[in-house]
Amino acid sequence: MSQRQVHLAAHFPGVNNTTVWSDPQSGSNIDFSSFEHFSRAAERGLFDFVFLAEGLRLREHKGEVFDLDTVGRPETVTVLSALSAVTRRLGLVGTLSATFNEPYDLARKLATLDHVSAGRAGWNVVTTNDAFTGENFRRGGYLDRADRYRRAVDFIHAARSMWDSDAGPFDFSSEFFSIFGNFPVPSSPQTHPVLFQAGDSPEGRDFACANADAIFTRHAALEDGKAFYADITERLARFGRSEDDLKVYPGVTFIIGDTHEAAVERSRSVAYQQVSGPGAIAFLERQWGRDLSAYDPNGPLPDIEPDDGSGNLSQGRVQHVKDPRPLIEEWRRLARDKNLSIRDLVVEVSTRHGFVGTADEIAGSMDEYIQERAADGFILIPHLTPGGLDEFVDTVVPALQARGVYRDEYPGDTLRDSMGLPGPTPADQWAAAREASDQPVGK
Amino acid sequence: MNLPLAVAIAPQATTEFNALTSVIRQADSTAGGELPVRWLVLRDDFVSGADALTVSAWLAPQSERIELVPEVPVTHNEPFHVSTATATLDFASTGRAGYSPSVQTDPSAASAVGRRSAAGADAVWDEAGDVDDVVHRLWASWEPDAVIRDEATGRFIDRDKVHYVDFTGTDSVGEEFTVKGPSITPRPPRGELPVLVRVSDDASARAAARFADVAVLDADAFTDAETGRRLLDAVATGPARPTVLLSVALTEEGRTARGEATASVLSALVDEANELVGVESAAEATDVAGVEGILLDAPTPDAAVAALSGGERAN
Ligand SMILES: Cc1cc2nc3c(=O)[nH]c(=O)nc-3n(C[C@H](O)[C@H](O)[C@H](O)COP(=O)(O)O)c2cc1C
Repeated sequence: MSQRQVHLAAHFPGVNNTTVWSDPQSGSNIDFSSFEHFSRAAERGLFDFVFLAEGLRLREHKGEVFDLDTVGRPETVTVLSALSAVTRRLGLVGTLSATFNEPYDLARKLATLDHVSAGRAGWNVVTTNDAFTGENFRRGGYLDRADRYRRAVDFIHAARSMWDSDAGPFDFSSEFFSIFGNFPVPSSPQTHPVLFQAGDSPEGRDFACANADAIFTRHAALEDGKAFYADITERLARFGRSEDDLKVYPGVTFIIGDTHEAAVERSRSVAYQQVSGPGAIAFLERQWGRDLSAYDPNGPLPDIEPDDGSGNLSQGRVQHVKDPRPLIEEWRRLARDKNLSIRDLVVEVSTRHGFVGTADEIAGSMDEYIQERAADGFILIPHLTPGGLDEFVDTVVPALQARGVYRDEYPGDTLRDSMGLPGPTPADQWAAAREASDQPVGK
Repeated sequence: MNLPLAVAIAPQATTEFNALTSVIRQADSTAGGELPVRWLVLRDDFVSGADALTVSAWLAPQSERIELVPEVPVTHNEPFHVSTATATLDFASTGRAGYSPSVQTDPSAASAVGRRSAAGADAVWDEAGDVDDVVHRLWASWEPDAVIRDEATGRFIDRDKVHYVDFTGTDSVGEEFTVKGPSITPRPPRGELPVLVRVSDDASARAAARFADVAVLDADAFTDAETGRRLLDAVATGPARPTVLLSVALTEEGRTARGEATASVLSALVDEANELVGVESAAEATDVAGVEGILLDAPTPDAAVAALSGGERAN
């Protein structure tokens, strides 16, 4: 079969305003039954994996816990391990910090998860290093931003060495670690859980190409995705790897309708659920860096200027924009041209849904993205907990199958099998390839 | 019969994953029988076996009644992670989780983590008390009705009901540690999880007196009356007033030194321990610091299964 196959995965609805909590169909974001329902739907749809994000401190806004979005989540490894008992083939991928964990403890937990799940564990390595998050941990915000990927490279090397040891000795020394002992867990079914990366800077991309099996990216639109994919393929070559060795999964939202028009209409009403009046003001406050509570969300954009102190008004989020001024100017133009209120504007600029259409249209677009190498698969981000995947699985998955680009059964037992990844590469081989590349990874 | 009963699996044996599914099935099925098992403890000394909490989470959906009480290594780990992981186990088991802090004095545990040096029993148990304190505060950092989903104001939570803990404790090498909070995980279904402490010396007895809901005294402590009495008194002279269990080692075949683990054998063991330290009866034990129940220490999952099914056969 010359056609590239579509891969699917599912992001459990997170703690931002993509998740609609006000809908009558919205259930608990914390009860295990929600995770179970969601994961069973993903497995029914033959998805590669369920994916959990992580944030180790509650988000704050204007110095207080942010209260407008869904708040609270379980500990990642623990809930994935429980999910392994209620699924059989679905991969279980958790976001876990390389900054606020230590290699021995995390490697042991992940090896345990790979055992109890019979080879379905994955780890999205993140490097959040801010002092704000550090306040929940013994060491505080101890790590310089410049060092975040260098520590992560060593962390992964140490963890892979432990997994390679098959319940044997390990001894690892580097700038960041000096650790030795016996790793107590025998080799797990995958030996190495599948490693994901989700940073976007040039260092982050090199880090992924030199260390990871997959990337979780926000470059989801067709042209943007193709450019990202091409960039990654080029970087991979420098580390002696090919595009088969690293899978690219953008996170995507979707809205399905019986007709195209119905989907567009639904997308619009979901967008207004995602952006409440107070939510719209808070969104602008993050860009303006100042309090805007006096403004009416149904009125025009604030005419005052953003705060100069590039104010850290909001903490605990991945920041994507550096200088807000050009963006704010653009929004003012847009609001003027289209006669948009604050809330309309925020809906317009922040809620674009990735795939909107009938099940057949969505299947067609996804197929196109995959054939065009804008992605290897998609991590779906539904807006409802826990039922947000159900309709997709019931309608889009059969449409993909009908096109001949989606499997009818799981190809094997492990997450590596589902993703079409090669077997694990020993830690020393990864290190040798990094050295041979002359790339200053994370430097 | 009302004997509080726990079963523990040795740390080296927690990688026998398939056999553990038999243990959980067997233990779960003892409910309502002659010898109902209340707690399943997967032991974890941090340097052998699998991560007990992760294994317990996998067992949670495979069981309905038994309480899951993994040992959780606390000396070299982050209190914040201990709190969210135990709370999550309680969600996954719909309110059947507990935890048992395990301390590491072993230099091999220290060198595996590489953050600080090993310390003695007093220092690590003192730290475990501080860890347990902040773990409780983090569980309680969300009030039960913190989630409001109030559409009128657009608020998901009432942030006046989600609190910083601003905790300061002392670690085992004498350094201060702080935890800001609140937890990222809402209050677990049980609110507060029961805490089990293994008592083998004066330091652990003091810890049990400070914060245990269940204290498990090593059988070795009962080889002489004086040691047994001293540890029992120590456990009873604190705010916690835990239920006291006696640990009883099982053989590979799942037998006690007195034969099969039947209700009468186990009550006889309780009575004997109490007699040794001068307590008249199990009923009196709750008032004057005596042994109330038993923890069966199984070297392997198979031994636990044999012990529990052996008990059934005998009744
Ligand atoms: C799509 C995407 C998802 C991410 N998810 C998380 C997450 O769940 N938790 C977290 O702590 N960081 C998350 N991050 C942050 C990254 O791991 C990384 O620390 C951050 O992007 C800074 O690295 P960079 O400068 O290379 O982008 C995410 C980043 C991206 C691009």
